[in-house]
Amino acid sequence: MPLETTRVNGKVHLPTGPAPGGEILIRLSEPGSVSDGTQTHTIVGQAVALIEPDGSVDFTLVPNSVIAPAGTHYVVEYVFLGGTRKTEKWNVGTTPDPIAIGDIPIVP
Amino acid sequence: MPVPTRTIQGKVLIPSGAGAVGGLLVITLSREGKVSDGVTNHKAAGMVKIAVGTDGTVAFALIPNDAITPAGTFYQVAGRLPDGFAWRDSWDIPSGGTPLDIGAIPSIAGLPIDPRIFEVPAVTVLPTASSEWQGRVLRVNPTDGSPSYLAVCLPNGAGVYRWDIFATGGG
Repeated sequence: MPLETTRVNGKVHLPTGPAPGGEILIRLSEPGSVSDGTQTHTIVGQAVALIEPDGSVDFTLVPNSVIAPAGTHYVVEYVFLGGTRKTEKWNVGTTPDPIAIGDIPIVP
Repeated sequence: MPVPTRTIQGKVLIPSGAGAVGGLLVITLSREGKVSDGVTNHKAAGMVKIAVGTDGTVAFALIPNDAITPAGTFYQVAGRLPDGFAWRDSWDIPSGGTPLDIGAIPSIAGLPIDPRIFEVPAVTVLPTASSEWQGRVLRVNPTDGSPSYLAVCLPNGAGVYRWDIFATGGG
């Protein structure tokens, strides 16, 4: 069975308009594991999602709701061209899929 | 009779669900022990290095900790990805007749696990390995221009601390 993932798309905007490109560094708050229905795999490291020059993004993440232990979140760091950085925390679910990046629930 | 082992299988993934291609696991027994094949006691000690395959797949065997005497050993795991991300874990491998999924390995809570990488610029010699550094991962950037490397401080089977250099170059 394929591993469950949620597609994230949409655009990243700065107060001045679409983000001028960059990348998003995404890592789990703690090491986790996920099952594909046959085997249980481990999740480590970070995903790097590209922010296109027009601010658009399109990438996948393993939803937090299928990751053990329960209660993980993603630690997200935007690195914009020019050096500006912004961090936030996401809780990605299995639905909706795809989800617009601006609709991802933020963890306080 | 062969020494008992347990096959570890599954994948090491990154949050996107893709395989952690190029990753490396360094697995060290916490201290030296003995394992029996039913006739003879053999020494269990040392370290294995496991390369993460394409699509993140790993498949390797470890001696179950409950087959090692004296009781109480565990495996210390130091992982590193090509982008420089490093992590640590501590495993307790139980005996069993079936393969054990890597994501289902019991992790030992409460042991010092430090996921940070400590930058050590402008040195050519590592500090003396000791319990003070246990579990620490250093990124060393030599002053002589040679490639940077990662080193983790772990005790060997006899309880003597050492630096294990497990990745060079890159991030």
